[in-house]
Amino acid sequence: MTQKNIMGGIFIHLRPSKETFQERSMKWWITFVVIVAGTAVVLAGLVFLAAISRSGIGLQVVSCTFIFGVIILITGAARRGMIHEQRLTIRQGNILLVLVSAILVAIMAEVGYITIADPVLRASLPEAMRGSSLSTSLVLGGVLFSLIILLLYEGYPILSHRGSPGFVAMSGLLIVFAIVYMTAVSWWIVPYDPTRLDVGPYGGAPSLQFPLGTTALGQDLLSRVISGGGIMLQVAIISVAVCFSIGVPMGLAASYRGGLPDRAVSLVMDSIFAFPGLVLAIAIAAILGPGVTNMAMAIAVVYIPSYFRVVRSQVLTIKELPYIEAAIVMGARNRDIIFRYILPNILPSAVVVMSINFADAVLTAAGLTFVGLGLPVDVPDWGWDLTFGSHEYVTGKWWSITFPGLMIVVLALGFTLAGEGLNEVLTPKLKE
Amino acid sequence: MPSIWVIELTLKTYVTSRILLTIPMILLLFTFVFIIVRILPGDPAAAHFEKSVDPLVLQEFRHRLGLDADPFTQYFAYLGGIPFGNFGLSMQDFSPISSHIAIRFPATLELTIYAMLFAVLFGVALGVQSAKKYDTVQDHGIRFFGIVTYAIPVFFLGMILQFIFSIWLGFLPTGTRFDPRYDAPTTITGLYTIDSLLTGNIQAFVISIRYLLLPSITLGLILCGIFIRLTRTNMLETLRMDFVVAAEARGLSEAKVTYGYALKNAFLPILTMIGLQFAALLAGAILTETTFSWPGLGTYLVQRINHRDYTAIQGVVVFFGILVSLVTLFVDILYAYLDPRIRL
Repeated sequence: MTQKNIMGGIFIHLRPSKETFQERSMKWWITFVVIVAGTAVVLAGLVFLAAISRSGIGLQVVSCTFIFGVIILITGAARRGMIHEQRLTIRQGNILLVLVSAILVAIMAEVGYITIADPVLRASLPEAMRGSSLSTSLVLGGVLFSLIILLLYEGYPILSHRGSPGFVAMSGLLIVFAIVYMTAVSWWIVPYDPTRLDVGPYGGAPSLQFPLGTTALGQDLLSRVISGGGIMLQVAIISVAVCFSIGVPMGLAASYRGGLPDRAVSLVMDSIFAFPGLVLAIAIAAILGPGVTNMAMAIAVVYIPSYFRVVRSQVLTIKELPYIEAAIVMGARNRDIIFRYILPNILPSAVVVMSINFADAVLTAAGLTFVGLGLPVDVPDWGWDLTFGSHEYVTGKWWSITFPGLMIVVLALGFTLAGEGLNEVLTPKLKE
Repeated sequence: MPSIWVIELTLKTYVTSRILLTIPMILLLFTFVFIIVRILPGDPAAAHFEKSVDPLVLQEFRHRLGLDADPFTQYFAYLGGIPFGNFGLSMQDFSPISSHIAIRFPATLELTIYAMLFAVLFGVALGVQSAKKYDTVQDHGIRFFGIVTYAIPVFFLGMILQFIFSIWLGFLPTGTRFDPRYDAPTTITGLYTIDSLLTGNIQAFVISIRYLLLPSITLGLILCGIFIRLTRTNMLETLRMDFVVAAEARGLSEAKVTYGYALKNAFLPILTMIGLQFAALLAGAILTETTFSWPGLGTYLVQRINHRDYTAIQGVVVFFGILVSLVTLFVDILYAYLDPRIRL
């Protein structure tokens, strides 16, 4: 069993194939150094924040997730080694990995539960933090941290086969994971309570005490920047999940069946697709009113057609291929043809659309917040901070827009880079 | 001559079928918007008021807006009005929305035209450069720039540019469309730059360009990424073709070969993309206008949203939908005319 056959897990669709890929540029190692250095800087920053956090247990939370990641890494390496020596099959190795992570998740949840049950700690927590349990932060943070480590460790040999697109995809995913991780543990590492008003001066400039300055309501901008990704990510994840689970099956069903239903659905989808997305999202969000789910639904409606169109065009091509004909001749059921023969071949393109869609969802969510369809003031949200800062910066308070805005750019950039890279890695035939 | 006759016939068929396809698309969109804005909120008139109001007042309000009829009558009444430019009445003062559109739309049109001009010129120039310097630091830098512009929220870019050029350096005005100290040019088309040139008012032309500069560059920068990528891919292909090598061998200058020969042949997909980006352009215009207080349709829409003026929202959204469908139709027909392959 060769090295390239044993790659499993999250890179199941990323198996390297040297034959189809031609190395274009040798500059990718610069990218790799930048990626690793960037990750190290981000982690150092997080540890520093954790050390000065107001909750007092930020360092414990972060180190718990670090340990989680290291254990997963060791298990992953052991699994790979044992598979390589043929002491385990791939399936057994994957089961081992899943088992270890399940045990770790259980331990983390237990640790979080015990700590949060401590009445002294509980009483010292600010009002908004009592609802968000420590277990969630620990489990989510741990899983994400191990994903980051796995990406660096397992992704490197696979993606280096793909040259620069592989590293573009990897850096994009790393940015995204880093931001999600930061958001997951944010409540425990913020220096101030992000929901509280007047913790500092009103619209104060960056200083030692408030490194990114304060908002016009006296909130600490650093704390809000750290914890502000939650809303964006929730909206993006919900809307993308809805889009994906409606657009892909619809595209599959309509194009596989063909005929009149296909034409009718295509016409509906085309007319939504032709429409300026933001205008439609604004109209829907204005009717549904504020709220995370409503915002996500407004965005979801707009982006369903992009999945539908991509899936449809792919299925129309694949349907004509000889192996599908062979399956039909051999009497395979429609269900088998769709799910076993067609779906795996269209998934890579759908994943690429999904990744770009994440960036669009984040930008649209920010846009909706900007036109006044966002969430209430006490929820930390980059979009809201940026919108609120737009009344402030005319007086020269550049920090009020710069930092929340940059965070949105970085998150959208992460998704876009991931999409760009995955596009070239997963669908190499589209390239040039 | 039979061959010309065949081509004419196919072009005619294509145009006819394309027009016939646009009608159900507009109808579908209209129905969709109608369901969202009129049916989903239950009673849009009641939803308009924050507090409960006297039922008699509400009844009168509904009656004046034509919201008291049953949904089907409303639907067909609204649909029947659209060909005559009737987009309903605003909940604010019962003024026809079409009159607001007539005042506001030229501003949006002017902004989008200049933004698109900037996006195409800048994007194509960068794309050509990127293709010429294939796989160098410059190429990767330009590609990365294209990706970054895609990831920036347009209003954030607007604020940053506004901060640097108007607040910090003080070169350019922060917003609005024209200097209030001077008279705006006489309205002929509603586009200030064209109006001022038509009336020979050079001062007004300079002022309107100064006010246009930041918003159109903001919107153009967001859109130029797609042109960079498209130009780059097409130019990479074209630059490898035989006729380019032949032109080079004949000793023509590099600029002449790149822009006169290669770009000319790579331009058709870019032309289509201009039409396809029109929807994105309008969406971006809403946010750009809000950032720069540009008195266009976008600011109008945002302002109406904040007043929960559902009839106005519906009118503007339907207008946007029809506009985009017609532009797409026009571009498709133009493309078919320019590229004979599409007709076959």
